[in-house]
Amino acid sequence: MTTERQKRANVANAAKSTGPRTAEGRTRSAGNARKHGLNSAPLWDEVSPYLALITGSAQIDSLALEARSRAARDLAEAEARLARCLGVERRHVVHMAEMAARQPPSVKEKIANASKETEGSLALSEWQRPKFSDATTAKVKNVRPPPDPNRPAALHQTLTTLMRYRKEAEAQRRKALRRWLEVQ
Amino acid sequence: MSKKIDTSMDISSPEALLRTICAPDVLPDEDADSFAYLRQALFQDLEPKLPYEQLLAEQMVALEWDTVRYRRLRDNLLRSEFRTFAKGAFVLGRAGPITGYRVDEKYDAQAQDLVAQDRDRRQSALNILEEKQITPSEIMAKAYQSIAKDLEVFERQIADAETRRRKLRDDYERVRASRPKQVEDAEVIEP
Repeated sequence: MTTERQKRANVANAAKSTGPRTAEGRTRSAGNARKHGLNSAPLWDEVSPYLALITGSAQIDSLALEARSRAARDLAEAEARLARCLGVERRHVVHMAEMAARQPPSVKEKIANASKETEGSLALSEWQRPKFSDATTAKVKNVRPPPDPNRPAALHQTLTTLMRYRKEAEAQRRKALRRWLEVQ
Repeated sequence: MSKKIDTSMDISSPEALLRTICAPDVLPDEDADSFAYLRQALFQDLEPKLPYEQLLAEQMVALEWDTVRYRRLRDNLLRSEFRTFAKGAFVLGRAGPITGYRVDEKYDAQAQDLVAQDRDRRQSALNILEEKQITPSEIMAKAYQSIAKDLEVFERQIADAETRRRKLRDDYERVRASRPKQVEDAEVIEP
């Protein structure tokens, strides 16, 4: 159970840290939970070219809730979001191809390459385990390095996620197009 | 309140807009002429008239190009793995990767010959393989098996593209059907 002393310490500590204060800091922390932004509403600059193509006009009265302009705006937003998802997915697949082609050398290959360079004298330091003498460094050795974001499983997982977002964007576009055609 | 389009963007014509938002996505090792040819062929087939129809047509071109790209990446990956396994066949007498020791350059050359365009070089490499009682199909099967997980990405994308193409074509046809029809010999009657 929390003691009175701990409660006071908690309150005192909380008073010292009240989060970001400057506008810049607040803006930055507002995006802390953001991972890729594929789900967020597209910016007006992204939407407006599509709107111009759909309606043939570079302007829209954003307050008018007339069905036609609303349908056009929805369709333009859906197009912008789909374009964003497709771009990210395309780049990711190409990146996966590059990673698949660049297979990491095995330890044996490293030895073979090292022997080529040093003519038989192997540079063992690369794969020798580091020796830990004191307690502090012994603790450090147990810290796992962060997982490689380019490992195959992670890349596959990301692709699955990107495909899901793209499919959602496609469905949204199809729905918006149907509404747009209804009000034509 | 009215919002205006981004002034940094060229909005003088739908073509200029399309050029900006549908810039050709051609990688450095891809053939820009092939892309242009594919685009031209598809546009001739689809005959888009309205700006939005053109946008959908551009999306279809991009989708077709993606399919071509994924097939190329898949084939390149498989070919590279085939070469690695073929080298193993020449050195070890069994299809598989070689790790751990230096490989004589002649085996590299033989593995290259196996996929060479030159018929004589290919035949001589095939003869060596025959002596070792290994077939190219066996090497290909083992190479495929070894990178099946990597190839699956491209297979999945190619299969997915087929469904997307069909749906996009349906959307295009619907937009085209809603195109305002021109009435020939129509006259505007002033009230």
